[in-house]
Amino acid sequence: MADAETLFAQHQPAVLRYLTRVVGQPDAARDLTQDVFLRISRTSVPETTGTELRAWVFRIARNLAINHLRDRSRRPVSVALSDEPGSASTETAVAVREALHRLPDLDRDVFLLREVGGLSYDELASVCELTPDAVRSRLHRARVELRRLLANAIDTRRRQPVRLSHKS
Amino acid sequence: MTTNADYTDIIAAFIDGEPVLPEALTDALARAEGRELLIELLALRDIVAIDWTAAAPAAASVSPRARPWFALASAAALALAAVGGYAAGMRHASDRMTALRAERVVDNPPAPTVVVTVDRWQETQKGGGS
Repeated sequence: MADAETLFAQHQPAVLRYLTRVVGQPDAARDLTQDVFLRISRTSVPETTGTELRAWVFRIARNLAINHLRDRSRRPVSVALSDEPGSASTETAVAVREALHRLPDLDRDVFLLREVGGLSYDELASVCELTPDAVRSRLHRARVELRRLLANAIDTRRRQPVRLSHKS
Repeated sequence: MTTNADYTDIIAAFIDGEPVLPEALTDALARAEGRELLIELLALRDIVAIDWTAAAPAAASVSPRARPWFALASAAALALAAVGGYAAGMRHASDRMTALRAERVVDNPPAPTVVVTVDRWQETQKGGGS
């Protein structure tokens, strides 16, 4: 059975990345990530397999993010963007942020949990309380919309080498 | 052969690490649209993976809580600038008027340099001759 420390070591980076994109503020994301693992440390970790545990961790993260966004209710986010060599341009980062915020909340969650959290379709279904078919459908819809909204950035990006997996 | 509806699912499932049947993937990638979709989804994944956690703050939008204060401060600054400009203008005009009045008081009229005397009337001929 995994303990809180093991879960922290395994999932903290992905949880932080996911929360950063959802709430849009690195400081708030760091605080929320701490809250996630504080909650985990104060509760009994379910005796389940690795993927179900990951879904459980991300369900806590998602619920905290929803509460945070509800409290902040409709305030535009301030985002710190990296403009270091090797990273994408600030303009692209802003365009991605704006495109993500145009998506319906649940579609955005499914997309970010998949792309940033790295969750499988079954885990997404568990975290978002959807059927696997609904997960596929929402993921597909989010990608269609993002491809439309980010057509220029994608066009620029596809002139460079692509890879199947990426370092987030 | 895969249909329009499922070649997108196959490509998406493939890049998401979900299990796909090799024949289905072969069929999906045999289509030009399938290969195009694969590249687009990978490019989309890459641009979404931008590091937003770095410290350099940029493009931060103004929080709405700050907006009323910002608007109020802007209005106050504009009003101050207008009043200041008006006061400065008035002071400048007043100084100028005072200087003009002082010039009138201090300066005497210039002494005449030419005295024009009127002689008796003379008839002149047309063409300028006398």
